[in-house]
Amino acid sequence: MIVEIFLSKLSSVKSLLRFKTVCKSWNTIISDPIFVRNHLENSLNNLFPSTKRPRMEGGYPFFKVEGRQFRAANAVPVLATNSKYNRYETILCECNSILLLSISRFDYRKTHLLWNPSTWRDI
Amino acid sequence: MAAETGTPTTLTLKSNDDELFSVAESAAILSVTIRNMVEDGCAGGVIPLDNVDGKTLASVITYMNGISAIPADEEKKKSYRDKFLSDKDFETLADMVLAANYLNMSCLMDAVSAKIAQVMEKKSVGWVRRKFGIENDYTPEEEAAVKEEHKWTFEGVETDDDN
Repeated sequence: MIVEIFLSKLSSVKSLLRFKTVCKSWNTIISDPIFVRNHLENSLNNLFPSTKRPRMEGGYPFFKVEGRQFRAANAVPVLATNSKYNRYETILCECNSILLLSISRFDYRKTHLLWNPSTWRDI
Repeated sequence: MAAETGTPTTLTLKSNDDELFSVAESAAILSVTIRNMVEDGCAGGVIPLDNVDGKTLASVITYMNGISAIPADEEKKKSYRDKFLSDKDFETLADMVLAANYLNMSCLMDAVSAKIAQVMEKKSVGWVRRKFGIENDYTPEEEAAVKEEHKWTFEGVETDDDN
């Protein structure tokens, strides 16, 4: 079904949830647990900040879902600065569900990042 | 296949509005539908493509020629696809995705559907219904309930225009 292909390629969950309002059949597709899982696994932005420190120096990793398992993400593409991160130092604060993260770059310099967990993206 | 003559084989494709197009077999077989016809030996005369109109087929052939001229370099192919799709409007993309599906061209199908998703991303529900020709089958009460459940997703949406 072609519509399902478009929907599976939407990068933000926000758009997906909004499009539940389009009609009943779209709501059914978008609510289907298999669709949801596939969307999450295929999403480039399938990333979660973890709060449990693993055996990794210099911060907490981002995790991504792959084949129903969580794995540490190698690199997190950050749109705003066009650079890559693979871990964050701390969650500094939270406001309206947006997290302010302190980030260590690959060159060990520190910076800050606003992270939207519901779209898995920096803003 | 005319391997013995040494000249590239050309196929003739016919759109559903009776336009004829010549295309190199090597480019046309990007379509699995056409490749199967060639392999089954039924691509000798004119190949009728009943689900594709002339305007869309011309575009698809431009893509076939362009992408098959690029050597096996995924980066270059990707940038060709991005450029090829960059100036296409929604109606053209919608026609192309149906054509790519019918012609069984997975690379074009993937690229066009990703582009359509990208276009849809910030669009309103009204825009989507209009562009996809979808009738709203919710009662006003049901629609309000679904909307209420995901209220935050309606923030920052583009105004309901035709673009």
